[in-house]
Amino acid sequence: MQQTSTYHLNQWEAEDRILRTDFNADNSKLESALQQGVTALNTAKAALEAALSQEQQARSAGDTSVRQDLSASITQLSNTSSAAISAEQTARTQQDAAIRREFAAADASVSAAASAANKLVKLADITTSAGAAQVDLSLGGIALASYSVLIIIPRLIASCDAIYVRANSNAYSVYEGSAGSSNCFDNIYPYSGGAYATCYLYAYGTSVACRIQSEGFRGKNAVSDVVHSRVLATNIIAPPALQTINFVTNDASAIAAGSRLIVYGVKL
Amino acid sequence: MMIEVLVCREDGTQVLEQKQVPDDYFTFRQEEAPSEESAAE
Repeated sequence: MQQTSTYHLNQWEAEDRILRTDFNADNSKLESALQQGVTALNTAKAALEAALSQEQQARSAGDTSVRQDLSASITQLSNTSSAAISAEQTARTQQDAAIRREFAAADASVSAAASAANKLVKLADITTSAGAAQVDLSLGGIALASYSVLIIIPRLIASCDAIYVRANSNAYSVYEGSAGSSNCFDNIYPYSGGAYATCYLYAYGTSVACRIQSEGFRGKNAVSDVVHSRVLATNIIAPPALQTINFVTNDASAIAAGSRLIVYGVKL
Repeated sequence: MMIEVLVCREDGTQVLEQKQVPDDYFTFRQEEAPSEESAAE
């Protein structure tokens, strides 16, 4: 009887006898071969599982190491970047401060040059807060000797016929002019409730003089072309003794709140 | 007579004061200048 080449299982021919023992022998060989195969498979499976576990552990350890390395790199890069940014910011701040100092110095220089070149200086711009029969412009804070002339522009709200312009509240006839003496430098004349004039005050040297050009009407007569100049002698009011210029209504009515006094000085 | 005087300083500060003035304080006075002929006499 023929047998297979590997496991030697019986191969019956037509003339071979069929015996129980042959079948049992084949089944025993199959049982043994299957058992060996299963054992081999289990052994291989265990080996593969062990290898897989080992690989997983290795990869996990590798991942942790890579993460640590990456974190360290990021931290180092961050620290380096922060230090570089901080240094750059400090440098830029210092540069900005230096540039600002240069501009401030240049501005101060230009401002000083402009101030020196500009002879016309605005000294005051006052809006009155209360009504009164007399409004005084105090000159105590102005170095009169530094100016060739003060230009006083009163814009007074009043309904009287005239407003006297005086110095130091002096109401005597000591204001001398070519037209005669008066008890004021001159009048300015309200028109439609407002009195506008330009007063040129000279208060250096030996006398105090004031030239007034009033803009308005006296009755029906225009006075915009009337200009009077009068002077106070040194023995009356010397320039250093000049304290106030007074605007006084002719009827004791009030110069209303909201009136303005604007003062320019022309530097010597 | 008493009048109110508003004193304005160049820095913008203002003070309202009472001031005693003579009765003719509000009267306008102007005296003609002597002519050259009068002066020559």
